[in-house]
Amino acid sequence: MKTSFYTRIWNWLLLLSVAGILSCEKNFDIKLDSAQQLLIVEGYINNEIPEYNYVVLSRSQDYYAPDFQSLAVSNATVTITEGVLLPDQTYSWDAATKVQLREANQPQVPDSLRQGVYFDPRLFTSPSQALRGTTGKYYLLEIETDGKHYSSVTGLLQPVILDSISSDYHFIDAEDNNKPKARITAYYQDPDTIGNTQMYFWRYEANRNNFGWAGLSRNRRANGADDLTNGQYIKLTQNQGFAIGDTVHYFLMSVERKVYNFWESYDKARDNEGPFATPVTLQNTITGENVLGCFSGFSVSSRQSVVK
Amino acid sequence: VFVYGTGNALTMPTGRFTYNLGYDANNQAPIFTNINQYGGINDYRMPAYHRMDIAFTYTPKPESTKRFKSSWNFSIYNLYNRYNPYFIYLDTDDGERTIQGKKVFLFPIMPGVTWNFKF
Repeated sequence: MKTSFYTRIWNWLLLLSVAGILSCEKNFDIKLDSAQQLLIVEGYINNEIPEYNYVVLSRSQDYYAPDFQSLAVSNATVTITEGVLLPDQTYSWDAATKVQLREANQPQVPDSLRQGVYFDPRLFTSPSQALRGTTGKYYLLEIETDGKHYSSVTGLLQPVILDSISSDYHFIDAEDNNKPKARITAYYQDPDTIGNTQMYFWRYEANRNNFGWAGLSRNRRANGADDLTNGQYIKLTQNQGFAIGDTVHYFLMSVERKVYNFWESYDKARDNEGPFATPVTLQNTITGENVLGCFSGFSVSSRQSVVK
Repeated sequence: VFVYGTGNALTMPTGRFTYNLGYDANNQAPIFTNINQYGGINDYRMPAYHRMDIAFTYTPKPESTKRFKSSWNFSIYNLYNRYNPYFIYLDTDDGERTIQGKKVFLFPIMPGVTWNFKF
């Protein structure tokens, strides 16, 4: 395609302008206030994958602190208790179901990541009896550390059922050795009551051996709320491409609105830096002093399919 | 002329933490996301904006009665070459594990010559 004279002039002007601006950048000592240290809580309970029911505890640190990984919180007392929501909107907790989680590790994860990650110890001794969420029930997370008490409640809603997934929108991925790929479409009926919220995760070849919810893939721009689609039959195509022949395990998570709000705020806060960063504060669901995080109840409905 | 302006108020992070912890088996590396922690809104003040400009005009023949008249104007913008920040930001490199404040500024010291004429 031939570029017009004016386009070339415009491109040169743009290039010179950008070069001029970029050249006027210098290091600058930005003196920041010291932060109030927070306990950071990342807790999960779900009804399908017992090893993905875990709690991660860490602490925040000053912005210029040299450590880039989490400051793990060890030796905390972490328990999860099952209960029900009563008609008067209070909870009745079943003390017999109380499980104390302990710092442990999955076999595929190195010991260096063990600190601050709490699992049901039965996962490693009698996996069939390990903590597993039940849809319709509520769960109380309690944490004791440094003489302080923290708690949070999350519910496992009745899951919206994932009817099926299909392979559509085939294309050749020029950025991946011209592999033929397809996109995955999920089909489900949104309930006729407004206020349903969902999240979508998937496991495939590239992340099959990863661990944790962070190890699965998720489209952070496509969480589902039915504010505008209440009661409709949903056909949702994710923009990620999957190689033909790959096996995709797709998870549709029904979550409470407060859990949805937390992850929405998280998605806005991540990768949020540079000159146009927006100060986002996460929508905390944990009760206690100087604490931030979420206890996420995921009611899972999943499907597995080979990409065609 | 001397120009002075109080620095803009900004909301800057005061702390950070990691969230969404996992393990990447292919790269044998932890997965985590750094999230900023913020204090009060607009609790950071950028440096003040100030600069000095000077200019003088030289008219070769001020008494001239000719129709055509001209003069020369010599000026220096931002005389003491202050790098007034246009905006600032924190540049974080997770790979290199460095955090560096950056400021972007426009218009350092700039001399100017202008020829004015009337006809």
